[in-house]
Amino acid sequence: MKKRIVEFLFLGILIVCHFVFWQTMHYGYLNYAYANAYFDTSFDLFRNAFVYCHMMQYVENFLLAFFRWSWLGSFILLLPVVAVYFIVRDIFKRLNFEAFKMFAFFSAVVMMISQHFVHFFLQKSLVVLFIITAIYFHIVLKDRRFRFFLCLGLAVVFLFLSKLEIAVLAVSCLTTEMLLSKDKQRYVLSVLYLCVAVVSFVFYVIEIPKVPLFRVEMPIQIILQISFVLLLVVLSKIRNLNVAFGKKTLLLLYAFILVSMGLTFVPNRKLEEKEFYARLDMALLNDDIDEVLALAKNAKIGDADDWYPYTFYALAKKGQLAQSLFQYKVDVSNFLPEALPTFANKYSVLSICFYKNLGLLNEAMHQAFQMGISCEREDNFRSLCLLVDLNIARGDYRLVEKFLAKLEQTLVHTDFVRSRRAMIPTAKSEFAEVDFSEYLYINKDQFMNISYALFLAKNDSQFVKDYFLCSLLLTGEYDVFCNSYKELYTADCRKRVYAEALVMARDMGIFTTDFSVSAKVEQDWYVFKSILSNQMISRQEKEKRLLAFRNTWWHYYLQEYEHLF
Amino acid sequence: MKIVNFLLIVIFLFSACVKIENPVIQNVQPDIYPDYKSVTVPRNIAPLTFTVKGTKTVVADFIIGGNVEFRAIGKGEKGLEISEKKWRSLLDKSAGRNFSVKVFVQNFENEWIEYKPFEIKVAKETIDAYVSYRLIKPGYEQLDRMGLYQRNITTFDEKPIIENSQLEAKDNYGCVNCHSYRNYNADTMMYHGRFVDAGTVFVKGNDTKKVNITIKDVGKASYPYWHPTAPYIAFSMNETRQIFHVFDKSRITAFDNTSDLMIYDFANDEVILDDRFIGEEYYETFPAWSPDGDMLYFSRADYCGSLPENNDKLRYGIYRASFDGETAKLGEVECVVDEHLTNKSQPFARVSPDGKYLSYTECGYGTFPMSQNDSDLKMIDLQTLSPIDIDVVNSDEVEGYHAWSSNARWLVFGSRRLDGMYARLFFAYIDENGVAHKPFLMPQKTADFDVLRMKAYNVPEFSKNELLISNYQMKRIQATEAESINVKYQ
Repeated sequence: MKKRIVEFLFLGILIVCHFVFWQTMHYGYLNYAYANAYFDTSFDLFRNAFVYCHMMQYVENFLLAFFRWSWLGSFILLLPVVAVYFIVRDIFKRLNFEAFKMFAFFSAVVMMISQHFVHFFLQKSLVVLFIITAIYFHIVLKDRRFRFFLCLGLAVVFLFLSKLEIAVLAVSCLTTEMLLSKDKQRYVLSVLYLCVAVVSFVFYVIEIPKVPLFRVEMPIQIILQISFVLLLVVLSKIRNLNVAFGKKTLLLLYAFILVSMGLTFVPNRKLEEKEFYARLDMALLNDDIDEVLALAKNAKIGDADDWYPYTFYALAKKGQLAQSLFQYKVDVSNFLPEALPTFANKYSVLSICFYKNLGLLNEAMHQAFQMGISCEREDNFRSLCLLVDLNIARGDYRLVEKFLAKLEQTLVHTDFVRSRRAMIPTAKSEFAEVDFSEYLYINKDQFMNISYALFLAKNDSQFVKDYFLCSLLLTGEYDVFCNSYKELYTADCRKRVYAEALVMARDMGIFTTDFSVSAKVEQDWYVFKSILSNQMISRQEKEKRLLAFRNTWWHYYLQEYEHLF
Repeated sequence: MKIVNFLLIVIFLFSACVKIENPVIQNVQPDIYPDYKSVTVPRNIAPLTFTVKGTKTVVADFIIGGNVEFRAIGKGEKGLEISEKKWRSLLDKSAGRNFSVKVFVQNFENEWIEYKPFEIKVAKETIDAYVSYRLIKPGYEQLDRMGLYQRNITTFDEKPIIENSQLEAKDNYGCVNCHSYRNYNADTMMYHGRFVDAGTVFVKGNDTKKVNITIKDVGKASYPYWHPTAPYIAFSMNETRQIFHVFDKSRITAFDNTSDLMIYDFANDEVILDDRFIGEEYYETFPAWSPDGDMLYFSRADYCGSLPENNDKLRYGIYRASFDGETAKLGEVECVVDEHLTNKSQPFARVSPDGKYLSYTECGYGTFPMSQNDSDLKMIDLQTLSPIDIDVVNSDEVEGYHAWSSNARWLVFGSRRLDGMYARLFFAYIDENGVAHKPFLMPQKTADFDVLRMKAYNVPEFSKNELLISNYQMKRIQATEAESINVKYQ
């Protein structure tokens, strides 16, 4: 009775911890998994998955669609963990290892680890669950013929589910059959299993991709879990382990299980990184700029430079870019969304929001479309949703209708579709198409000349002006900055970065129009200049004193273009 | 078991019967999707499934001379479910004349509306049963899943010729393009494979080979056209690049850094080059033989400065050169459609199989009509070189790649008219007097099929028969090593 209570308690702890781990600590990643998945009820999608043996991915995508709601995602992730626990527990029971039932927790723990540390966590969990279920049938089913047909059928189904993992299934079932069956005809079944494995292997190698063996990923977790179950079967043939544990041994076992369960929640740097960027993206999509700034400020992931593009975007949205740009270690390489690290790189949510706010809707469309293509699936949910919103902004309602019709087939976007359909008759483009006759293009292999495009577009938003002028300052196009400033603003300058640049330009004779800046800026410039021109102090001393101005445009200019001084 | 069968029959009968009660009569024709009103169709086309958007149920009576031949019923979303057998009988009976369609719809308030009937004309001539095309996302840089497909347009069957899912390499997808048949016969065909297992695959009955048609310092084979009788294929060699418009509605276009012509002798694996069609003075592209093979048509533009800066100044005209099949020599070049007179670009031309007409695409500039909204189909009479008005086939959106059926009565072409982004295939009837009729969308099993398919139809080509080689066999051919070729200058 006590054992049951302990078992029940441990299971409870496992369920609660697992659920809380995903739901509260990694909801961003669940959303990321949903956003990058794609499932619909079309025949095309099914056919591709079926013909090219991607059915397990198809099933995974179906389940990932429900990750749109993080609580449901956490629950779905929990299901294979609990299922594998109960199956392995029952295997112990049926092999007369009653005392070892608690060991089933280790199987669940390994699956939890695989979910935390393997990128395609759900697919691998499903593979393991499927194989263990097949082994379970071998142990449970007594009727030879029934077992024969059921398990062979499962193997054939599995071929369409998950390519070469069928080899693991075949070997596992074969081993189980050979060890457990008293029937002499077991060899027939074994041969059939081998045939299925070999035929599927040959079919896969010859007919499907060119180099399948490079694509086979057999994570250690899968091997470990299957081996664990197979070990049980082997042990059951060697000796009867139906022994009772002593109290101390039991306590040790409990402690060991708890520790191993705890180990599954050890922070995983890669997962944390993905979680961080996923939350930034969620905040961007919700237009929660304060949240973006808060996340960027409190982040403990990698180098701050990596997520600077998010910070600058948020500052520009709040109209603070030209006030506080040089409070960050900014330079040309980390200013624009293209600077994001590999994980959050090109075709990111940030890029799309960035270009959308610049009024460059063609480029935003380009990014959103490529986001769908680069996800290794037929499409992805996020890309489709973004394309809907971008085309509402463009006023292209035919495409809006098309993408909404597609999203309607995805089962989980009913509310999104309804809300966007409601916008169609009244939606006005916030960023009207620019009536633009000049032949202006972006080359495939080069980053567009944003400044040029914006200057020509004469977009009047604060966001555009700030990005335009700041990018000119960062690239050292001082003359263009001064001329553009004259066109875009009146003489009075309230923004710190611009004021610093204008004061310096005045002294260099580049900017001659009357303007006024705050006395503080004038005073700081005077001090900065005097330190710089002081011949009485050493270079080191000069640099030390100039450090007081490290958050200014002057300091940046001095560092980047020192030879000009 | 009997009870189950009985229940199934009851359910079937129940679902097949719709009672239209007190319909409100509207004296207008219905706004059907796709628009099949007043179109002309071949007598062997698959059922034209359509719907009326925003309705619960659609019912259509198909009528010949006042007699209702049959009634089709369907849901508002997916459209009519038309029996293929009844449809075929309807077309047989009305070949060379019209039938009319009376549409009833049930709205979500369960009210019935009856619309004024519309007509569909059935041409006497049939259409080639198969159309091949490439399905590809109208994307930008990276390749996604794509492939070449053959569709039986007398039914709804679509089969892959080859898909790039079969050509998967680590971190890369292959690309397949430029499929082409000889004389509308699918037994003899070719296509290019790029990136993974690259090379040009040739199929002639059971003989297959893969060739690498790349000529050092000149280019590699791109757009093909089979000579109708001699063992030659004319190719253009294009080095194509993409650019993305910052503000233009079309978003994206392509241009050729270089484009020249060559003739490939597939009997001897030899490439024949003519200095006049190689070099920087002109851009030559999209070759097409006349039906007798005595003339090679192609598009040509003068060099107008570096690209892409001057892409908007690039104008292609249509030119032709006589061809001697014995010596494989091209004769004098003469202008057919002068780009300097039209001040437009005519980058893609096809001669009708009866030799009477030349159809071509016309757009503002450049070689990539599919990206320009003003791109339209045009036609001239080859006897008089005078234009023939076929504006009925055009729309405000792009009309681009096109091909003639073997009996010269049907044009298939890609158009983005449905949504401005995804090209769909349309068929237009050109009667014996050269008069074009309103085109119709390639019929699909359900009315929303093309709405939900997120891929564009690219480079349609007719064939009379089905390709006998399976996509798995095709993959095996492509996996073989490419043979090299000889180059011969004339």
